[in-house]
Amino acid sequence: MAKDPSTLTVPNDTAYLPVISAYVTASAAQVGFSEDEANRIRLAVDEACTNVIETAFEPGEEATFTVACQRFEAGLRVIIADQGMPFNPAAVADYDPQAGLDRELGGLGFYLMKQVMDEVRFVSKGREGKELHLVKYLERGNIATLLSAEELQPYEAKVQPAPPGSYVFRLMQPAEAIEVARCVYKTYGYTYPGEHVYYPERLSELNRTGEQISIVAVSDKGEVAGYCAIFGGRPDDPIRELGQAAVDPAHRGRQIISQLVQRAIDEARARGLAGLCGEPVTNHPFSQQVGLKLGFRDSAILLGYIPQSVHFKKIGAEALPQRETLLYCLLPLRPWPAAQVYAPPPHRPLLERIYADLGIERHTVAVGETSKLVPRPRPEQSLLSTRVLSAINVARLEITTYGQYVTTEVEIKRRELCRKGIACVHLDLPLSDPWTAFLGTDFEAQGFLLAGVLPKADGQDVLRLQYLNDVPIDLDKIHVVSEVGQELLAYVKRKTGGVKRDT
Amino acid sequence: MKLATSVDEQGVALIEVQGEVDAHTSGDLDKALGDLLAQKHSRLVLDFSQVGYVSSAGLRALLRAQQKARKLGGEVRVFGLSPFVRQVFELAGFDRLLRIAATRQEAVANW
Repeated sequence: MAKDPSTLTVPNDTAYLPVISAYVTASAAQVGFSEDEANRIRLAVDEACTNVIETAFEPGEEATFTVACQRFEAGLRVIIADQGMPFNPAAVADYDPQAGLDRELGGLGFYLMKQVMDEVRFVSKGREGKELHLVKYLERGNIATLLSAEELQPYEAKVQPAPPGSYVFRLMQPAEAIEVARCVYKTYGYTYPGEHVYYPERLSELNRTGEQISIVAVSDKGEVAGYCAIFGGRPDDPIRELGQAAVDPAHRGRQIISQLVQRAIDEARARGLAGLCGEPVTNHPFSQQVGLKLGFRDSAILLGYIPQSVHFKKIGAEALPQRETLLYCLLPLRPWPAAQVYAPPPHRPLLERIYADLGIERHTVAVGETSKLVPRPRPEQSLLSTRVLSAINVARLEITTYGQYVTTEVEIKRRELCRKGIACVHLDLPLSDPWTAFLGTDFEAQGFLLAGVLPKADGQDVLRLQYLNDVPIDLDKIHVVSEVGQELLAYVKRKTGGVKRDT
Repeated sequence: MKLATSVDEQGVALIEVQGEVDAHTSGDLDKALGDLLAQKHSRLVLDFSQVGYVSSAGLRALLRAQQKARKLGGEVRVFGLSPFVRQVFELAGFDRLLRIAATRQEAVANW
């Protein structure tokens, strides 16, 4: 949650850059960043503001833009907002720091921003302008610096099982964060995509604010034998993710994961969450089986979502044979209000099957020759945001409003992201908008494949499509347990002929 | 940002830069370097010991000068970088494009 939010409004004149710098540096120091880190944040904001001043307005145009600093427990978020000309982040040139003296300097500012910040995210707000969100996390005690290499040795495949005993499943206490980080490190190595888990202090702070809810299994000797967490989004989001599960091998085979997950579900219900989602892997069936048993139901298949470099030690294969496919599964924790969804006709039967399986009341509206549905006219400009998840090399395009040229806009963005080497581009479409029923197949014609549906408690469900950028995926190596998951996989297989190899 | 320029007996130009080099001030640096190069001074040494901050705009000015200086058979060198400014040079890969010296003596030696 943002604390002490503040906003600075400045003219579009580089003479005000020192004012912005003073404001940002002071805000960063207030959050607890060192002088060096504060300077790095200043550099990113300076580059972002320079870009706004130099490119967002007509020469000579007098305007203002805002810089807002939002402190949150784990760091600082800076939002630079302007109402100037639209900006296409995917069109920014790739800067190459290895190039010679004749190098192009296009993209240098953005390159520096990405080097010094943890997150750089563009949000297009249509007629209301655009925002650039820069996030920096406090760098406090990574587990790899807190413990010796010996203490962080990966778990051995064959370990002496711990003596039989009982376990308590409860919320993590702050002092246990270091044990949790170690457990995750020893399970996943230093490759788990959610990096907060490697920072014990960050982890306990996130728990204090509710941004993360960590559950531990504690043996009767007081050891942390297993861990899972509710995370992602904000504490007041109706649906949050359940994951990060790790169990010390000495305690495996004792249903610890199931009990951890059940404890997390109870906690989520007690806190009034509308649902929990999960993203189990498909190189082995264990996580999916645990989820299914506890009521999670699959609603999407995310092909090639995780890089091969993520190793799930001692479970399934030694290393991932290909970019790893995940399932998206959901557990509604209370009845959701009914809603209408406008699915593209080819997806309708599968979506109806998914909703039935989830027990969510959705009326899928028919479109086509027999339908009298006429959607409202589209505005000229689309509301389209782009987010690059650089840790896993995936980009997400989210459409909020369809503009008149949306298919072209998506095609241009998709091509630019692919040119930059993004492995997988997700396209999220609003199922509450009738245009999704009409335009969904146009995106399929551009090479997007159905991933599935991400249902939302307020009825604003998302239809997710996915584009693989020359990432070979052998669909036969994907293990899917549930019937709906198998139907989703079969649908993709029918569309691709088995092996997805895009050119 | 303040600039002071001098040329020694060997024809090496020294540019003392004081302050912060951002998009607002880099134009002055760009012009000062451009003027020296226009006068065929191709051996340029920048004293950055009083520079606390540099952004990509400052780096652009240095790259432009280095490209021109090389064409004239000389080069741009810089010394006295603060730890932060050095970080920016390294992040941008500018430590490969310019000779970064610790001291003035080192910077002006061995042309």
